[in-house]
Order: sequence, then C-alpha cells, then structure tokens
Amino acid sequence: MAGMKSRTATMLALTVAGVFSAPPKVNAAVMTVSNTLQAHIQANGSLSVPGTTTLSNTGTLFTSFSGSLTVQYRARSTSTGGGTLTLKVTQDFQTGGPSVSRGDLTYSCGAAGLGTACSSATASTTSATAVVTLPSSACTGGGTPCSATDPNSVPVTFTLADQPVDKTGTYTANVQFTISAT
Amino acid sequence: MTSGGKFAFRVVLTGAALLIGAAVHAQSAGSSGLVVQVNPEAHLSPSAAALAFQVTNPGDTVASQPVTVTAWVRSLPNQQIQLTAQPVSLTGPSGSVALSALHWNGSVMQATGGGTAAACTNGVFGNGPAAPLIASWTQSGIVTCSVTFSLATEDSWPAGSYKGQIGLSLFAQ
Repeated sequence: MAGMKSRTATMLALTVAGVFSAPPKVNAAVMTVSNTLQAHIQANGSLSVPGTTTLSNTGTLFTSFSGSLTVQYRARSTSTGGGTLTLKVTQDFQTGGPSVSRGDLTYSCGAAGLGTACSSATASTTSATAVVTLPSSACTGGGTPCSATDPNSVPVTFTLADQPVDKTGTYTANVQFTISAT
Repeated sequence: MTSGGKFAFRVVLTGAALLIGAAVHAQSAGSSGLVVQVNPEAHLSPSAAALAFQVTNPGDTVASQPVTVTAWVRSLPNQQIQLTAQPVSLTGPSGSVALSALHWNGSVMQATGGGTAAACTNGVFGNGPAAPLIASWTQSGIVTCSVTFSLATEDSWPAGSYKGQIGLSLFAQ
C-alpha cells in the first residue's frame, strides 16, 4: 500500500511538472516572398462604327445628300509614337449612281475626344484619308493625362454630290474606318 | 539551421511577368455602309424672265439682253424632258402688244450627261400653248441655253420702251 502511494505521488509529481513546466522552445519560420510583376503595356487601338448610315437631302433642287455617323474609339500610343484614325471607301456606289472615284463624296469631322480631328477631305477608294490624328502618349479615359471620356468619339459628316446624271435608285457604298497606334 | 535558434529562409521569386498587349503596332477596323436613295428631280433657273426692248429707230431689229436658262433634270427611263416658255405679257408705248410678236433664238452654252444630245431651239411664239426651248432631250443631265428674245421684224414698232414677261417650265413625262 505504501509502495502504491509512493508510485502515485511520483506520477502526480511528473504530471504537475509536465503541465507547469515551460513548453519546448519553438523556432518561428519567417518567409519573405518578393514578386516582380512587370506589365508591358503597349500601344493599342480599337473602334466601333454604326453598320449603316443613311444619306439624304431635302427639296428638289439637286442639293447634296448628307448624313452623319459617330466613330467611337479607344487608343493608347507610346511616348515616341502616335496614331491615326482613317477612312477608306472599300466599295463604291453601284454603276449609274453617285461615284466616290469621281470625287462625289466628301466628309468633315466634328471635335474629337482624343487627338486632332480632320477639317474636311474628299473620300477615296484608293487611299485612306485622315479622320483623327493621335499624338504621342495619348490614352483614352481616366482624365489627365488621358482623355476624360471612355470611349472617345468623333462625329463624321458625309456629303454626297447630287448629280443630275445619276440615275434614280438606291445605292450603297462601304466605308472602312481603321485606327492604328504605335 | 542558423545560430540563435532562429532560422529563416528566404525565397526570392523573381521574373513573373504579365504581358499586356500583343503588338507594338496595333490596328483595328470597322465598316459602315452609306446608303442613298436617288429620286427624280428637276430644277430650273430662272423660272421666269423679264424682257426689255428699247426701240429707237422703227424698223430696226430689236432684241433683248440674252437670258441664261439652266435646267437640271434627273428623269426616269424613257421620259421626254421638256423646257417650255410661255409669254405672259408684252406692252409697248401704245399699250398691249400681241404675244405672237415675240421671237426667240437659243444656243447651247453648256450641257452634261444626257443633256449633250439636246438642242436649244429657235422660233416664234404663238397665242397657243407654251413653246419648247429645248428639243431632243431624253436622258438625265444639265443643259444651259442662252436665249435672246426679240420683236418680230415684220412690223415697224413705234419708238419707245417695250416690256414683257416670259414664264418657263421644266418637266419630264
């Protein structure tokens, strides 16, 4: 019995010692991670135009047909680059009607949200002509130093000569707008 | 692993790169169709002409200043284009003068398109319907005529001022 008490006391003592003694030393692991995220932002451009633009005139005095559309665009140019928004007639009006190649179609530009808009020009079927000229370090949206609005827009008004020799009917031409940036 | 019971190991990751944008020279395009409806049209300038004659020596030929008449026409196929003149009034020192006393002499100044086949006419106005100032015009185009009006030489007009009015019409049918 005495031996049993002695063994019990010993176990209690060991338990107390185990509970109240200092825990074993823990070494903290510190990990420092350094990531370098490199964004290589290059020049870019995108645009959208309405699928169809109707040209019309009023009266019966052979006044020119006219119609407007708005080009919406986004652009970003480098500090040494720039860009252009151009138009080119990829399909002339059908035979017997108005003729872009004859010089019947001219256009003018309103204020551009980004870049310098054209004043007026004659559209061409053989070469692209300027609508907006983008400067270096141009960018769309977010305010200074970029434009205030996103997307940017520029109104383009087409004027088509109403030549008496044009035969009556409905005619369609296709105008392609292209934006490029460097 | 290191002294002081502390250990740390450092991992340095370098080189994660995100690339935005694919090309230095970026380009995008979009197209819009321009649609126009071309309808028949006709335009005439002027639509009337004022005539003035001054007879100094009775018996002389008396003509007005030439009147430039320009007609623009876009007609439908197989239509005849007509430019006509109708005297409205003619008065002289002695009052009204018969409209049949008026002659006209036209010549083409300029013509484009189907107007190149047209001719500016000559003639004498009667008391009936309007007279055609242009003949042989069957296709769309522009014709400009210079028209000189005169008093008939068959009569000897009393000296003085003569004034008249000519109405012009353009149509295709």
